[in-house]
Amino acid sequence: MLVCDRLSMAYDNGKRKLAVLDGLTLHVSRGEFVSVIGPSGSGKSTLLHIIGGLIAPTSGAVLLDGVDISGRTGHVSYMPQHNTLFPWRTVEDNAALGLEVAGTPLREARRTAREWLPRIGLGGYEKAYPHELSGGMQQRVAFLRALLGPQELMCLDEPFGALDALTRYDMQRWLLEIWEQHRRTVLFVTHSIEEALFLSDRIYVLSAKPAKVVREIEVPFARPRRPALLSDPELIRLKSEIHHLLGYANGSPSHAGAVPIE
Amino acid sequence: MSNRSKRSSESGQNIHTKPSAWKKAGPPLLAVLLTLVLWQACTAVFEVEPWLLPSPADIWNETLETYPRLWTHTVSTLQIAVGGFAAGTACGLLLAVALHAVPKLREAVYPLIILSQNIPMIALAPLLVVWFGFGWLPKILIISLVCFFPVLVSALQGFAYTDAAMMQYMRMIGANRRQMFRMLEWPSCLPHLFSGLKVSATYSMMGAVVSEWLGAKRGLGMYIQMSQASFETARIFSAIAVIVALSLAFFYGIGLLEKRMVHWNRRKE
Repeated sequence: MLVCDRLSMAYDNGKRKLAVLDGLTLHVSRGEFVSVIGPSGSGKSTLLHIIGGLIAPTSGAVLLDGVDISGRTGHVSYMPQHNTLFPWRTVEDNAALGLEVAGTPLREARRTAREWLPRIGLGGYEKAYPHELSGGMQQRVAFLRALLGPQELMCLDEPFGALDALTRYDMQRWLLEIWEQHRRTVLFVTHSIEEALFLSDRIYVLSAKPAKVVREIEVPFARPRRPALLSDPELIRLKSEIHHLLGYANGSPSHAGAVPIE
Repeated sequence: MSNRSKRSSESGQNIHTKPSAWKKAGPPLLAVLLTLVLWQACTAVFEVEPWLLPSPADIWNETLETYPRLWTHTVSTLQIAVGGFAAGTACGLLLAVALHAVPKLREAVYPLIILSQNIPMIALAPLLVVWFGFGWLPKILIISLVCFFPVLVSALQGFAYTDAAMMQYMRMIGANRRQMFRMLEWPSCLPHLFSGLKVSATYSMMGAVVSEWLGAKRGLGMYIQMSQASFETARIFSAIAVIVALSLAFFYGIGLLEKRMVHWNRRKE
């Protein structure tokens, strides 16, 4: 469904060229949960901005169902890293925003959001404002906002990056459950190896800047998945493999700042 | 936890504002009261001439006596103040939206707007009288000018401070220019806009009084001048008291409107 074909991106600030992406190729099939993992500052956000059409790649193309959407916005739904709920909108109106932007009348969009809120554990919070919610609850609303968007492909940009470890763990299990029920097409950007293995069907491991794919990993675990999976020997083996790919030996970061081993 | 946060969201307004409003307003009110008492005592003890400094009691009595006349002047001043405020803020807001919509124009004009704030608008009043005479037009114009800039500048700032991540999100999901403005830029501008409106509201009363100094048939500014000419100092004070009260009421009214429209912003204050 989504194909990123040899994407390259270089910024030219006059003095020197900064290459961010270097011929990055990946694809996501319909109904698939694909993660992109890479060292921090490896251009993961740039990749999402290109897929979302905010910036055009220097070369290469983004294809959605065979149509070139490079540099065109509005074809993916999006869940950003930081809390971007609108403080003046109630929870239900925030969740309805994606639908409203797509042209659904607010009344109807709000009704859909209201039906969904209990399913994501936020029944009774329809009229609350974002500042009245905890960080984890806010991210659930942001996720619902993306989920209700009419676009098939959801891009999640380190959605749990700003949460504390325990909340993050809860949110991963929550997301897994929701996703396994609805199977939307997801491109998930993260820097947590465990999170990627726990949630995804496939994982792309990126190199440091300029980013390219160093390894594509099929995650072999059957669904539905259980939290017990996290102590599965195969998961632990894959985890240390990705650790090595990202340039971390024995769990401690190398000083060169995550140089990929190819 | 969920119960508690729900409850505070429903009745939060009462819990948060009522006790703190009294706590906030109490000490300054007491200070005003003490000043008045001290003032009254001083005029009595030192036997100050009433034409030099009337006592608060003198002023009160004079106000009661001249009440009907004071009221006519007040209505007149209030009319031009509100008219000028409405015209000035409407123009300021419209221009802000226009400049925001055309970035090139904004880049050209914005520095000039900031510079022009150094011009004391009140000093332009005599010029306006030269051009437009002594009717209501130059008065409305001067008040509009005084109210125009705070609204223009605060609205432009509000638009400029729109959250970058939220804008990115909106663009990513395909929001067009109008949706961007209606759903994101306008609501996020409101808190800034209201701080501009409050400044304008206070300026509008001041602008009205000053414009009447330059020549008017009615109005508190004219009343002050007449009273000064006849050494009716107590009347000057009662006119000043009315002006202060109206300014405060105006300011408070805008504040109430703000609370209704920007209730979500209370947390940040």
